Amino acid sequence: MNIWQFMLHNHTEVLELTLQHLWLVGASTFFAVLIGIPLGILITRWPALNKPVLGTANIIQTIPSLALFGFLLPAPWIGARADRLAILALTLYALLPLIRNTYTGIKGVDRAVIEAGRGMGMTDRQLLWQVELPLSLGVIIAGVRIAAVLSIGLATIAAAIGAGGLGEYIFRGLAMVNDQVILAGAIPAAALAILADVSLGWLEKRLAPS
Amino acid sequence: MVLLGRSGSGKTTTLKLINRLLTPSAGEVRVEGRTTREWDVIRLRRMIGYVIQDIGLFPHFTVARNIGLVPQIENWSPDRIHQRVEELLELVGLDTSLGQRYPRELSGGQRQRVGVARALAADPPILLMDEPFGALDPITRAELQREFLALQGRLHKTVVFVTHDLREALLLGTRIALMEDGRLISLDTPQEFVNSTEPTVAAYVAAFGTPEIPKRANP
Repeated sequence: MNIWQFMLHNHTEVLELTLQHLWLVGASTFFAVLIGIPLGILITRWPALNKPVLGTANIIQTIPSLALFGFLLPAPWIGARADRLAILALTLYALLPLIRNTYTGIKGVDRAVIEAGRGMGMTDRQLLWQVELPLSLGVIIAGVRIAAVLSIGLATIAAAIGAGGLGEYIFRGLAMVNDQVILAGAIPAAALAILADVSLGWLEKRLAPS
Repeated sequence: MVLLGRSGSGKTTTLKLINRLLTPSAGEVRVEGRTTREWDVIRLRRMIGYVIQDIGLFPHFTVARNIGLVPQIENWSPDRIHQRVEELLELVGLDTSLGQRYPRELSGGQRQRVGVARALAADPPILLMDEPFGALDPITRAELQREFLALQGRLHKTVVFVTHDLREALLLGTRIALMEDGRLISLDTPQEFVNSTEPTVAAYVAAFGTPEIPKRANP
């Protein structure tokens, strides 16, 4: 039986694991956007927070993913369900690119434009919503893209703690020493990553001010 | 009123002290009798038009939205903004059809005209201009200077104009303030300025080859 026949034969399971995978990645990217973008904006307003915030996000990135899943296991409520745990861990990993891109995006807006806006009496809020965010949207979306692609790969490891997703096949295949089973997880995961990369890349191009 | 001086002499800093992009570390700046610290900073800035050399047009806004920015944040009705924008485009000598273009689609001279129109949008009594024609070619520059003089003849704003170009200062200024190392050296009419015996002033005039005072259409 080749890989395509295997996937066709188990198509309901492949689909189910793919949807689980998407749930883990979608929910974590959503939370990371919700937390990371405001944090990125915050550190453009309060430069003193810049180092602690980016430093913390950086340190989180350096924790091996398998270890992070393990560390979070005793957490109350979160630790009770494997998918909650996986979403939390993936959210933490996705924070860095979002905070960093929001920050560099806003900082990269032409000084003259900001100065003109302030000089004309725009409030900080008006400047943020009408000038800084629209002009840095491309860079921020690039951050979402990095975070999403990163999460799709990382989410395969979530299967190790029983959170499901396409990692199930990879771990199962490893245990069975069966390449086809590994590929049944790896190929759809790679396809998802490419899909996310291409579609968010398209969005990024459309939204970037030329 | 023209602030004249070489690079780094404190002209731009002085300008930014007026609309409180900078706050004085000592002393005070009074606008209409009140110090800039006493003013609500947003109110203060909205009654002062501001034009800078890099123009700072918003690249993601159309020309019309750029010009209508202050009226928009002042909550004018869309109809009134539209009307005002058309009025201003004509005032600065631009075709009203340019309103729908984006700044990147305009020439340098057109962009600078839009910058002036934007500063005039809410009819502020005071206008600050920081080397507004500095980045233009000499021909466009002369054209804009002439137009600006004619405009000022009609509008009678209080204008503080920063430049390092003596010829521009003599053409546009009713009073010329020479600055050097953050200090005011002299405050003269153009005529007094070219005849001054003050050493720094005389040196500045000599550096420009002792130019004539240009005749002005609107004295």
